[in-house]
Amino acid sequence: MFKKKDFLLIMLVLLAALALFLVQYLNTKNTQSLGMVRIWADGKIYTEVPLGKEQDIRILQENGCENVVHIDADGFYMLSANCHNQLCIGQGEVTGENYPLRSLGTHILCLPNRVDVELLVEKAENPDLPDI
Amino acid sequence: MNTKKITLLGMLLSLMLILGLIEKQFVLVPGVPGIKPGLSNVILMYALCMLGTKSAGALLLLKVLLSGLLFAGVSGMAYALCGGVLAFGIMYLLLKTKAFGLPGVSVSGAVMHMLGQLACSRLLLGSWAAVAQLPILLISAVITGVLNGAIASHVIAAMKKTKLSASSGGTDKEEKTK
Repeated sequence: MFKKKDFLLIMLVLLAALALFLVQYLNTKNTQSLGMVRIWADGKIYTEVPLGKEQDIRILQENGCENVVHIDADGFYMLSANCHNQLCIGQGEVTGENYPLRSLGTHILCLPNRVDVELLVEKAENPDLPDI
Repeated sequence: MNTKKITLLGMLLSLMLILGLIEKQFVLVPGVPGIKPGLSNVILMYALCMLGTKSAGALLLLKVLLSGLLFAGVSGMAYALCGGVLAFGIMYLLLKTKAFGLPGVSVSGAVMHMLGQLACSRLLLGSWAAVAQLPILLISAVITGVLNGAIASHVIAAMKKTKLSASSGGTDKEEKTK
């Protein structure tokens, strides 16, 4: 069933995954939330909303796709979507604290409706002193 | 193509659709969309090994088309096609080299399926956002790929012993020489 090259291939894939994890970790390490949510629809910026006031943003596109994003002081999540797989609902909340640990980072994606909700972050100007 | 083979392909196609439908009913890893077992690849590998490239290719394209019409919609069809064609290509090539076992073939198929879908998301979404999932998807591709490859190995070994494969019309090549 297994041949020698299978193990080689599997090790290669796992190594690639490890390397990418490392790159992601280094990329998000010294970032902080800008407290701003950018919503993309159909590849274009739909609107930008600051975190803070509790509100629902409706993203209505000409093709009938409709998503509702709930925004509050901590973060945001997809409240509802008329897409077929509802995976965007299952992606949970993005907050200023949890984005380095999410598999989709700062984003919530609804692929069928082509909607991307993104928490804007920046490189921290005064990163904490490195651990010694 | 004889009647027996057409019937067999029809049964395999409906198996693929049912496996795909079942996988749509639950999220395997909460919070990480897009991870699924990919069990219908077992059928595809069976077809690639036992029935020939053309039959397997036909199965893949019909599965993408019907699954799109039944469940996933046009965008789902685009994603499935991007992933499916790449996965089919790499699995065909690796099987041809004969240097890889089915687990390796299956893992490479899973990885290419995922890369195809990520590329598709770049086109349809206009951003690389989904690529953030690449590392976790790679790891899940290894796990599901090895499992599917092992299942396919056992299925093929078992099917070779039955009368069904002997009377299924043979591979595409054997058919031509008949």
